[in-house]
Amino acid sequence: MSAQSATADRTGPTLAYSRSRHREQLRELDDRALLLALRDHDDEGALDELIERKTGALLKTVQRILGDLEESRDVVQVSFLRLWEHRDRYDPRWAPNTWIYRIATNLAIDHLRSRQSRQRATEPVRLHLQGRFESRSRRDRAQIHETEVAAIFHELAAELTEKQRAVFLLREIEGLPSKEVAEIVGCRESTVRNHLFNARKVLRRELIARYPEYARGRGGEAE
Amino acid sequence: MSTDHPEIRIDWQALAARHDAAPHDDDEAWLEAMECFDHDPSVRAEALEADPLLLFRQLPEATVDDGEVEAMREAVAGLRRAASLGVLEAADPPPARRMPWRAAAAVASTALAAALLLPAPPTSDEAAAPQLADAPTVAEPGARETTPRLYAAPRATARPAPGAALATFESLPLVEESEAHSWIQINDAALSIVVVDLDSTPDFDV
Repeated sequence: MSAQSATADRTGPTLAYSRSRHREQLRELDDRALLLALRDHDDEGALDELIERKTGALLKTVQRILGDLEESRDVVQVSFLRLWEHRDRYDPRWAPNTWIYRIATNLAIDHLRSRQSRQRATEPVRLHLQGRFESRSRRDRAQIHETEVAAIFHELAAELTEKQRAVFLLREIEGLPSKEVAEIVGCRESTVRNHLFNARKVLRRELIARYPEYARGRGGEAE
Repeated sequence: MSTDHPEIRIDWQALAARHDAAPHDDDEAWLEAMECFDHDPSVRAEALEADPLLLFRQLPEATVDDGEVEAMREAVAGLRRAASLGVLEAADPPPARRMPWRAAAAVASTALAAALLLPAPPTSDEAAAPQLADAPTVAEPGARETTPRLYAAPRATARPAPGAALATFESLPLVEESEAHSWIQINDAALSIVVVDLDSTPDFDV
């Protein structure tokens, strides 16, 4: 052990050794401790560890909001940059996930707002899908390919505000509690409730109007 | 236990009606039903008839492998470097499609080149030497006195220290999924920045 240290002192690899050991130590920490290491010690290793832990979840959520993987990567990258730049603002009373999701979701919402393309998806897409559904059984429809679902969602979600879309996805698809959704989106729970009601109402209405083959059950009767 | 998956009858119509009335409530029965919906394709048709919006639970999920995480780490490091050099405004809105780390890295390289040229020391070769002393050199030792010096950017990421911009010049992720590196070449007053893609440069050890 001492011989190893002496060698390290002489040749200089101590830094690399301690860095890898530091990385191992960071792996033992929970998310909150990592955010505190970031805030209190400007620990770049903590940022790397958070990137490793959170990239997948953030990418999944942001992709659902934006509907484009490449744009989602860009937004998640900027989210981590913001996490670093605003590290001194972290309050440990916040749940770490809420803090991180808040940054990413707000950036995604901003990105949506900056998009000019709020027009509806093209008619040929709808006709193409309709043609396919007519030849399918009900069970087949339930197993429709995910990319087709994504195309439908992003067509219909163009009728929602950015916050309605984010609230719907975080609550209905990600399954986050309403309180957490409110913290992430930065509004009251009562506002989340309104966004959710309105988003569901609009989405169901548009789904019935444009893709009635999906809404032959209670959804169709409701309208 | 004789059966791992006992038959559970879910009244989708009743559940969906309750959820529709109060979608913000954390209804345990609904959450359990969602677990069932996500994992058992046989219930989906009935569930979709009850609530067509369940369709969107089948939105695709991004799959993330180690390469994705590593690329993200490098991209964020590149953005941080660009921000620290002042070429990326921290308060900027999310950049346009495909902008951040590729374009930002290019901007960072340009800004760095400008930073290198701006001080314009009287004897640039001598003045620059101490600052670049820590950067690994790839030129043959014997040829260093007679050929222009070629400095390799260090591979390891480091936090730019104040006044140490030259020493922190690193390989920026200029080209996606490549081994591209930036190099600085100083020959008297002339300065060149060369990007080398090591994927296509065999036997070139950094």
